[in-house]
Amino acid sequence: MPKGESCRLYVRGIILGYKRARTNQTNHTSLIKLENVNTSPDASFYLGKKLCYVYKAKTKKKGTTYRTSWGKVTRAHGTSGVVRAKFKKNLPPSSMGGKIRCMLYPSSI
Amino acid sequence: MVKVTSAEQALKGVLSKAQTAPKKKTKTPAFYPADDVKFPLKRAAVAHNPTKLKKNITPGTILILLAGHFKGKRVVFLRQLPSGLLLVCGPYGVNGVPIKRVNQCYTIATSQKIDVGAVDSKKFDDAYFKKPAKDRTKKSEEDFFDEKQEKKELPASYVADNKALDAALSPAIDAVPHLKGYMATKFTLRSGDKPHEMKF
Repeated sequence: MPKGESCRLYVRGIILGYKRARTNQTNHTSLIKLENVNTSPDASFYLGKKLCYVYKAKTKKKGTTYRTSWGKVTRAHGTSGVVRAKFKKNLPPSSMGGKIRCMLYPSSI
Repeated sequence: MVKVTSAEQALKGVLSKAQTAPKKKTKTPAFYPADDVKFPLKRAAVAHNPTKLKKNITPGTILILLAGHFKGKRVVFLRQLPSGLLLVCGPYGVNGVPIKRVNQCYTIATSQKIDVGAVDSKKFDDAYFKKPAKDRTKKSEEDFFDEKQEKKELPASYVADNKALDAALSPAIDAVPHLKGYMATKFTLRSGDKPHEMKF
């Protein structure tokens, strides 16, 4: 790979929303759909992996307008490869439908 | 069933000796001391629980780094240090990764292994990686304003150590066809890749 070329070491995902029932939602657990993960046995590989939600804000903090929110995959949700995730601070509702990074660490391989 | 006659007898088997022994009476002083007496807090010594090395990591295993400045780089594992961290090396001449320590949870172990019998990694212990203490002496006003930005140079011994490792590892890397090129390239995920199905 030539110098400066990007090196993606995370799996892309999409934030579906919070875990919920018909009327109640539990904001402390978010549902994430990971790219190319379509069954719950496949999702088991990602349990415990760190998730990073990267977003852009107006004001600079520590010299950057990008901010991050970290969490981790807790368990599979259903059988179609969706996972449940917990974040240090609950994801904001504005993150729904947004992209998320699923890191490959902590690695067990 | 054994007949239990008293509460003490019932507890005898359950409680340890220290719990059942009569407590010593300590005499409380009649007055509190006027001044606070500071004494160090007693902390229970924490037993260091050594990190278990993943089974597929053995000296000479090629690892992929997952985070940090060198993410995606393929490096050679030399040995595990007493702190539990892994001692790895690019080597520097191949992919620019110097001798460094890394936590095993930030690595992927590949099935590729090389022979590292020729490498002497004895001097690279945890103390070797300790950073020198910062100069905390206060500067005078003049010094503060005409401070020149000096370019920090790496210690010559550190550079020499990396060169020595390059020399020791290069025959082992050259022995395997295409390995040098493989080590020099970064690992990356591309669209459609499934890490959960990959064999590393």
